[in-house]
Amino acid sequence: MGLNTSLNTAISGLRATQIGIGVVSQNVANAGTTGYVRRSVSNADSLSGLTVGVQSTQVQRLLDKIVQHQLWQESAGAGYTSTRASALSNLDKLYGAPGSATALDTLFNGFTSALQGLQNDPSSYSLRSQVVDAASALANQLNTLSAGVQALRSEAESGIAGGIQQVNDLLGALSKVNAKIVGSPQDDATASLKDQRDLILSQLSQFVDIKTSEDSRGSVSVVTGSGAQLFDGQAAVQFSFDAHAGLIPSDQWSTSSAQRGVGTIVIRDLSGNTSDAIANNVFRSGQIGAQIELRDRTLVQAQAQLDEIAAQMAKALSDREIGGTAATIGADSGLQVSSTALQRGNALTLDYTASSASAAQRISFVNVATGTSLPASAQGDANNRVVAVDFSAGDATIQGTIQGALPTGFTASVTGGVVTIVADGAGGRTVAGLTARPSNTALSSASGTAELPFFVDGDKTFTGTYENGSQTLGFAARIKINPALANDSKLLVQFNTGTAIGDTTRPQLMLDRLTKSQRAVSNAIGLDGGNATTRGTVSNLVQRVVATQGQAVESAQRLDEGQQVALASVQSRFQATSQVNVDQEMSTLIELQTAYAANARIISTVKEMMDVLMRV
Amino acid sequence: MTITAYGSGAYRAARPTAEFTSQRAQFDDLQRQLATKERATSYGELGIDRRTSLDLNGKISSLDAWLSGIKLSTTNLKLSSTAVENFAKMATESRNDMRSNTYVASSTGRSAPQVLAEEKFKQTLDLLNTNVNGRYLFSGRTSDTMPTASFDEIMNGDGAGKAGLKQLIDERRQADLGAGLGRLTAGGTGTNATIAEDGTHGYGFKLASVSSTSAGITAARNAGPPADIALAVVAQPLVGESVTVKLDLPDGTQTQITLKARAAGSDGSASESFAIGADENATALNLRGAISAALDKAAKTTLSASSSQVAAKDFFDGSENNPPKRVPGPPFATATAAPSNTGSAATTVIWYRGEDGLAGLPVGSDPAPSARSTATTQVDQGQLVGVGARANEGAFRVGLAQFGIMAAESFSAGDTNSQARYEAMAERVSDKLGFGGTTQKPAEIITEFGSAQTALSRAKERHESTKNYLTTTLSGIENVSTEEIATQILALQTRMQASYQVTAMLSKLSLTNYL
Repeated sequence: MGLNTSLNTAISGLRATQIGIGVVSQNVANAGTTGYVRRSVSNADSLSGLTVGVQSTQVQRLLDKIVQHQLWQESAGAGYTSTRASALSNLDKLYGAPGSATALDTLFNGFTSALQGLQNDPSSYSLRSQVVDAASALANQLNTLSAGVQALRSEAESGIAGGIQQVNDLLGALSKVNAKIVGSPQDDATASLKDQRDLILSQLSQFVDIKTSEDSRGSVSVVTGSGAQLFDGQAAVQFSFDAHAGLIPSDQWSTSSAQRGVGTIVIRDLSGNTSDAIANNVFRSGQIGAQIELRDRTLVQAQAQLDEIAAQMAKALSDREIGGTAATIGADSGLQVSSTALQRGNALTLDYTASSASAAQRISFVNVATGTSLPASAQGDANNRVVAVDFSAGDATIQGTIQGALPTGFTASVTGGVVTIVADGAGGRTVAGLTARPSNTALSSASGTAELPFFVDGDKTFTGTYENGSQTLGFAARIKINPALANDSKLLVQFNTGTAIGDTTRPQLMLDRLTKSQRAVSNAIGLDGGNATTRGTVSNLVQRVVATQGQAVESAQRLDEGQQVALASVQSRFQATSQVNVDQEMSTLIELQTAYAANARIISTVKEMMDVLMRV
Repeated sequence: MTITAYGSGAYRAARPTAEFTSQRAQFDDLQRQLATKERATSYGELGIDRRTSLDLNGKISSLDAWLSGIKLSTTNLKLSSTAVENFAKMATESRNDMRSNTYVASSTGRSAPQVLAEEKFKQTLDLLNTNVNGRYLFSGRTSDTMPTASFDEIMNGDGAGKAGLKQLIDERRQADLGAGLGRLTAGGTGTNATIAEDGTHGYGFKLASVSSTSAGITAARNAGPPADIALAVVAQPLVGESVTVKLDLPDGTQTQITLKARAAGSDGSASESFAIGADENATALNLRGAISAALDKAAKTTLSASSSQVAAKDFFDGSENNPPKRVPGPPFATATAAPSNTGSAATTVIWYRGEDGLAGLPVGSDPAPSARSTATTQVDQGQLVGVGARANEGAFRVGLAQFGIMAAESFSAGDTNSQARYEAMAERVSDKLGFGGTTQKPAEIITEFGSAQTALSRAKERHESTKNYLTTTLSGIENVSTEEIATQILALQTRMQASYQVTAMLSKLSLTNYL
């Protein structure tokens, strides 16, 4: 090996060192750049002819692919949980601080307390107006809460719109970057492009949960957690979203575009085929998944809970309970009651035992016009069945429908609107109760009853009808105190023309109905996650709704905290390999500096040796 | 909502920043807790205790409502109770006034107790019209209606066709008096003397019994109806022997006339004795004269006082659903049908305008539902305390009737019967104001109010102690103690200081500084 060889080697060493310093300086300069992954240079021996030198083969990005994929997963999860937690926390705030004057339960308690007070002196104007004020405040708060829930839904709607826009933009950007990566050789510039690509993917992962794979050319393909292909060298799909503004409770998602009151996400693939992403459940996680769940489930249920409170309150005060009288058909005995006063949405309830071994069961015959079907939320459960009956149809039709719903051994007969249901008594079959529950729509009349339409639905009375959609849906947004009561608070006491102003019948009834009467609460509102009809007073219902909501918020926050911890741990693992450590870079720099000096020294030594040689 | 984009560079700075932010937020929350003493700003933050908090808030609110109801009722009850006490005192005073012989002939025809009674009548009306915040305490369920008519209207009628107490008394008096002998006729010829009721009806005297202490005068009563009495002088009676006729009065009392035989030519009251004549026929003639005189006097005195009592009772028994009974007429003097309230609502002042508890019940039902239950205070889930009252309760009716009689009557100084009539009235008034027999006594009402008061104060004590307990429990859930918060803040402060310092130190520690 001659001197020239040493010289060449030293020169290649110098070049390699310079590249190394270049990478160090890039690392240091980009220490704070988002998405930058630390790079390193690997050197190798090279052999050209007889010369052995140093070659900087490749600038490598130092990252752990597995951790990176995990990170994207967790990032989608965190996007989901934090969106939920923040929306629910806003909802929680709407319900008011514990014990504060604006808390829903405080306002409800205020209403019942005012009724309690009214019993002591129904003639007192101030006590009566206190009831009116407390009830108005409660109705207003239900309106406000309902508006708040709908505002959150609208926010979710625009959140989805924004998210979809972002996803489309990101997919577009990804196409460009991906094309460049595929078209370039694997060098320093490619590393920067890959940084950019990963940054785009990490942003994408916040909106939707993704899985990526990279082929040998460096081209990526992206699929969602649910398996839908989003990207394969180019954007495989284009999303579109028809955002609706100012949602109201009846605006709900549906597969039919005619019935839909909210936007839906449409996927259009390269060949122009479209499909509904929400129906296909494409977005399971990420911010968009969370917004969809909030808009279509969580907040819809929160609204349903408020509606249930409003409806139960209104019906508790307005529905009469007309008990059945003993009746017989042949040898069978049972009860009979007139159904003529039942309005649309009112129910006739039958309590019975089918055998001495079984528990008491109930069938509610709800007055619904022929052709109207009961919504799923009103279907009841096994022990509390709900059956639609058109009580305005003829006796024969009513009888047929009722008989069809009755278990074996029970017989129904309808004459002139009077429903008679009897049991044959075999095996303990008995009719325990038959009650008509018509809504009282007049505040006071000559033969008035103590029940009253205290709350009204805008300018209509509330009977819970199912015609043209359930009247209960969104009732919380429309509930208000009967304006006639606000004008003449004496009607809180006088239910017929002869009622003395000091009569406590009506105040007592109102209080008892709200705080003592057991009511069947629809299972559709998901209190305590149960699927059976819950029984309880309206007071209980309010407390349970507030508690359930608080519980939901708390668990959403817990989940979010857990997810943030998981994210942080993956982030820290990712960081361990990919983060630029200035100290490390500095020590590399010293190393390279020394190497450079050493190489230079060799060149200078070779020169001296050459000089010596020349003088010989 | 955006998440901080990660990436090694961003992340290095982000991590401590996030920690500082969360610590800072924690610090702010602790500061809020310190300022408000409240643990949470929403039910979500309250944690697992939220159910308890909701429940306790509900219970406390209901206790508050009970307590405020009790407070209101206690005031009303005290006022009601005081009103009844004052009324009882006035009744007792009038009774005492009437005991001694207080009749003094006066130019106005009214004695001092009568003048006082008129004032008491007015005062009683004022008491019964007691009103707290627009609520009439003695008006039953219609607590927005003033329960009584005015004094003038009650006494004199409304001047527009509705009769008052004075007119009812007058009509009854005419009906009882009849032709002058209290609806009796006296007659007889020869040795006989007869007294007969003038018809079958409820007015005037009713012949109850007759007796004679003389063997010379026989007495027989034919029960009828109408009843009559036959006396016959079969032999001359001895001086001092007497004939007694007992007469039933419309108000349920009884009076008697006793006629003593006196020697011919001796002096004696024409209405208390008869002279023994020359023969049986002459004696019988004298006896007949004495009977007429005695009946005439009794009709003008005791019967008159009795008429007032009956008329006043009927008048004050009247209420909206049970109008006062009136003697049919005119003419009244010959009335035979019993007093009735048919149509009288239009012609008679109804003094009590409140709720009478008879609505929906058959006319004349008795007793009306308890006056106490007309206003109730709910002091607990299932405990109702009755605190109501009606101005037409028995005790008030009796009291007002007696005050009214005294105020309505006048005793002319020139009338020889005035003294006797006054005494007959005084005797009855005094008796009635004793609230004897089955009459409701003012003390009964006071006692009932007293026991209601006790129930209220017991419930109040109970609620207050429950409320104290619940409030303490609730504050344990919703509130935080200053000490606890201060300690937490101190600990957090130390932690934050330490981490700030270490972060500052670490950020200075870079190899760059040593190159």
